[in-house]
Amino acid sequence: MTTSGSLRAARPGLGPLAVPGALAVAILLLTLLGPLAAPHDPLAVDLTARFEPSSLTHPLGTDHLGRDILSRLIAGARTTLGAVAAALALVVALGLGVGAVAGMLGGRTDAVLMRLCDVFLTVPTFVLALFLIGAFGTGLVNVIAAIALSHWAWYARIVRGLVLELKTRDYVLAARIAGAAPPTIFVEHVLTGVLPPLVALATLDIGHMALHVAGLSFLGLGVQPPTPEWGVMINEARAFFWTRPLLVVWPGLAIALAVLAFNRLGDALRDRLDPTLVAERGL
Amino acid sequence: MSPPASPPPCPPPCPRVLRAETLRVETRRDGAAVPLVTDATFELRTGEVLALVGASGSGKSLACAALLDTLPPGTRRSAGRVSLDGVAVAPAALRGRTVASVLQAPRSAFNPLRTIADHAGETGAAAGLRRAGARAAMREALAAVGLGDDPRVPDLYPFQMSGGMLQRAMIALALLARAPFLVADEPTTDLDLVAQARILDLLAALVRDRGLGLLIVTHDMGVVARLADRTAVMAEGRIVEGGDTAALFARPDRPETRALLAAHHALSAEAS
Repeated sequence: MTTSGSLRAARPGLGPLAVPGALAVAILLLTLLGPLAAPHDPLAVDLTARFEPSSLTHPLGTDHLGRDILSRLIAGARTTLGAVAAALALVVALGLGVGAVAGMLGGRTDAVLMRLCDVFLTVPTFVLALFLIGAFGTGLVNVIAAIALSHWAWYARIVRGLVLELKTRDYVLAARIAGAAPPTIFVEHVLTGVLPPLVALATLDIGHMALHVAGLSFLGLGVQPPTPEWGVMINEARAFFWTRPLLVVWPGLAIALAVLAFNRLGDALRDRLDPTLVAERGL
Repeated sequence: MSPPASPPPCPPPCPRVLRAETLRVETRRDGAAVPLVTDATFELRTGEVLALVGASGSGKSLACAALLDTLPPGTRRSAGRVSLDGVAVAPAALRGRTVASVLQAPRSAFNPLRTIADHAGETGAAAGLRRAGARAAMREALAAVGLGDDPRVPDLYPFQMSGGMLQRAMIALALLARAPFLVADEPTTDLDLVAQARILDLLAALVRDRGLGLLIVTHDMGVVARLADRTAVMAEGRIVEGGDTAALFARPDRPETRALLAAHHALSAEAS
């Protein structure tokens, strides 16, 4: 029998979520506050203060146009991670929609949708994104669309697989026998099983997609200067790499930290949210 | 309920009758139809227990699934009809409100991510209960199956409960809709002997007190002897023998029935 003590033990603390979680929360907070949290205007050019070293006024120094680097990093978080959030929302919506329809309906619908996925899956994501930007033109919105279109098929496949597996569960049959309507069954029993791994996967992909946004912007295809964005900052600093390497290091470090934080968070979330793991461990 | 045009021919309390006629279930193998259940006809009355017995693979569970049109993928019902009080009904319309079900494996029949109260809410909604009414009905149903003493039970997750508790909870869910009939497909197979005995006592009490019509699927003749008023024996997808349970135990006609009884006697002789 379960006592209240063991019940409480069944809800452990954050555990492995704590450190990456705190870091990710800090990054997200900076993203939300954006320019408000920045000590200076990230766009303010001051040609008399070019390449200043770290100081109290400019903690990370200034760049080739005298702009405060810390302020540009903070403002850049909003651009980069904002684009990632938009792209992920699109990817999850598309992947969940297509995957759920394919998995629930099965048959011909499933076959057609999955062949469509296969077409997208045959091309490496970055190449596909480059191709789509070539077709749509450059710019932040197009980058978001290109990233979403080059990634949704993975999500659709995974969601379909999960739905197919969950559909065979006894509790889905039990709900059907109890007379529950198909939409109710989907929301109550299939979606509850699909969402946790999907959330973990999406979190894991935040870092991956941040690299895409920064990478495409670095190539000059995404966000255009002078908008602060981490990839753009690295691109601008490239010319001064031999004389002022820190200009490349700071945005590079920001990208690396963000990727690391969200990867660890995704890992920990997957451990916590995967229903098979949860059921096995009785968490 | 029944159509107002024809008054019930029997005096109240009039037993309701769920009848399955000439059910046939098929699967396809190499393009040809292979029958899995043939010509299954059985009748269930409220206040009575009908046992469907047979060896594994004899088609007991499929016959039950055909009754509610919940056949597994790859099989389909190709013939037969289901009627309630003499009126033909769509099997899917019976689910929940008219026929409640208890599945074999209680552990897998609950979504591990939802509490008992969540499950009750879903079953209640399917049966047309409102939210507040569902909560009260759930308390009452849990009390009826002996889980009413612990106020925490509704908020427990399935993995926090034992197999016997879960089977009780599943029976409680089945009672929620106040369906007149209950189909229990091997309800005690996954439980230990003590839990088995308690669940069987519970089912017998529900039939007695609430006038449920119980269709119990089993291969355990001990369960049959204990509960069933009438018994139908299945073999190779057909109902080969049926009738009053006492008579069947006294004078088994068919080799399949004798084999089941012999196995039962051998096991109970060993046990005692």
